[in-house]
Amino acid sequence: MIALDVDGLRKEFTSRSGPPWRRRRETVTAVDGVSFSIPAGEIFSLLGPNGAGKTTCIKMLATLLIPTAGSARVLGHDIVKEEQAVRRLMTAVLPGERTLFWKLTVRENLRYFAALYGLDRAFTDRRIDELTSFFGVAEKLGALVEKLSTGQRQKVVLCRALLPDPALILLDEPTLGLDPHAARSLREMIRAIRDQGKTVLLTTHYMYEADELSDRVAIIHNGRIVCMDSPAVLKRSLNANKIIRLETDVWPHECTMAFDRRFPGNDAVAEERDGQMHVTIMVRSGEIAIGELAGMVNEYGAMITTVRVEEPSLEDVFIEMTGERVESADAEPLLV
Amino acid sequence: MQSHSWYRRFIHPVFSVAWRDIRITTRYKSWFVASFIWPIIFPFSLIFLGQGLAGPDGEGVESFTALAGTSDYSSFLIVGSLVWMFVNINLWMGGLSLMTDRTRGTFDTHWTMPVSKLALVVGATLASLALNFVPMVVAIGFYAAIGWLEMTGSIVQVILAILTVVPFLLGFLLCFAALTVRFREAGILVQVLRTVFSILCGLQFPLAVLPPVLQSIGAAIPLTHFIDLVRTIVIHGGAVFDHAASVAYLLGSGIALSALGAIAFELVRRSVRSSGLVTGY
Repeated sequence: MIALDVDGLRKEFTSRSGPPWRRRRETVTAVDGVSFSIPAGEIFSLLGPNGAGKTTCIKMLATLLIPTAGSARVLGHDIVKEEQAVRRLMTAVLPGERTLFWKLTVRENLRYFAALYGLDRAFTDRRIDELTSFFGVAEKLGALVEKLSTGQRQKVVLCRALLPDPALILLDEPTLGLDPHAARSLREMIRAIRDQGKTVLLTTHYMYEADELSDRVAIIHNGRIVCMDSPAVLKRSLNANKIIRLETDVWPHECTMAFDRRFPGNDAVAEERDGQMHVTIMVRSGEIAIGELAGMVNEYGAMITTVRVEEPSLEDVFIEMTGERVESADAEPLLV
Repeated sequence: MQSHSWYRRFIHPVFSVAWRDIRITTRYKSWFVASFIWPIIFPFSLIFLGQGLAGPDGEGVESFTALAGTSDYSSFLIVGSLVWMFVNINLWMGGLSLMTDRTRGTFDTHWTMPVSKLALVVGATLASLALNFVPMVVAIGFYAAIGWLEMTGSIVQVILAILTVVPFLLGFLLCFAALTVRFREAGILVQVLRTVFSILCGLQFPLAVLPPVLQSIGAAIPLTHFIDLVRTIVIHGGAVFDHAASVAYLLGSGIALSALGAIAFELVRRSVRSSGLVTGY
């Protein structure tokens, strides 16, 4: 069964700028013809840098925004024509720390939101007990939300999202702002939600998070999906056995040319960050001996400070597909 | 289980929103000041101003009586001040409820839920009406106890008079909520409106002192009929339905404005979802 079917979803925003007598209209396409389907019981991630269109996409699916074109159906219900039916089948967790009422207790918050979901009191109280026990916040039911840690608040937000027992949950950057321990704990919870048979659509710009959690990932860049599959297949599609990451003080252009001559069929991508050159080498053909590589780099007056040999990651897939790093995709083009 | 009944979709959420706002407001210590101190001290300055203008022997009271139809200027001013506070609190709490929702960070969550968005505004309005009740009772009790407010009319009739303004208030706040969703910031509009109401509706002075044009505009505002109704019942006694024309005007304009407000709110709700103005701050 298909939980969510998205077809050619597009969103344009029009803004006006300049003085009233010389008003200019500017149209920005935030999401540009995105299509995907999520079978029931899957964790599907939209992965991309800030500004890629993930949040706009999720806001359309959450019925907060109306698409400019295209359509999406939640268990067969159209998100525009049947918005109320969609809102009963799906809940959304949008980013931001203050999606709960801080001056209400956890129980008061959950009862309040249950009333807005149209749930009856007996069902609500049973569900609150189940969910707060499941997420380990049952002992906080009487505490004001302002007294909770960020991680505990995020768990209460998930309790809120699961109150009406939805078929589909949209999670927009759920671990943003959490410390590593809380983020890890929350990822375990998200997997447990999937194990209960729920479908989860997740947006994140953390590559490891998408890799660790998702059954399938769509990499989104400039409002378009550039590739989509399971993390394992995406990494295999790189056609690289391993990745060598070098940090050097310099990486002259001649070095790249020499690399191409010496190690044909392999790719080296270099970028400057924090005053260091970071070189990513995708080993696609044969083996590259580190000693030989270091010797070649030294010939050009460069000094290697760090060498790491890793399995390909989703970040490498992203770089391969877009030519940019996730953190710097908004601004810095790569030096090659 | 999720129910689609009218009660579960609208009535229960309205009361839940109202309960939420009452609970949150009363958890701040400043609520005590707003409910028990402000309503007592607020009318003082107007009453002392009135005493000053009346002159040492109260010779100005005669001309006040000619303009206002009563010599009981302190009751006149106290009722006017309380109505001003009533409008003020409702504008801030009901009218700006969705703006507060935005700044608090709960707006997007509410708008992705199956609850009627009108219920959010109506619930906030209900909360502000309920919270308004406390300062009104405190002020009336205090000024009656010190003898500055002579309650000739019955409290039941005063409450009935207050109920006649509820449809107008609701309609007005729905229009206001539509504005806050569309333009995001409406604090300055509240400041301007309460001043305009205070002038055109004669909240703190007899309407007869205004130029004729402004008097005509003021007479068309339902709030003017409301303040007249409350003042008449408090100062002269009688029943609400002795003033059938004012009651009919208040209820008729209130129902029309509520319908207009609901339509405006729905149109804005659709428009901001298309334009993207629904998100962001």
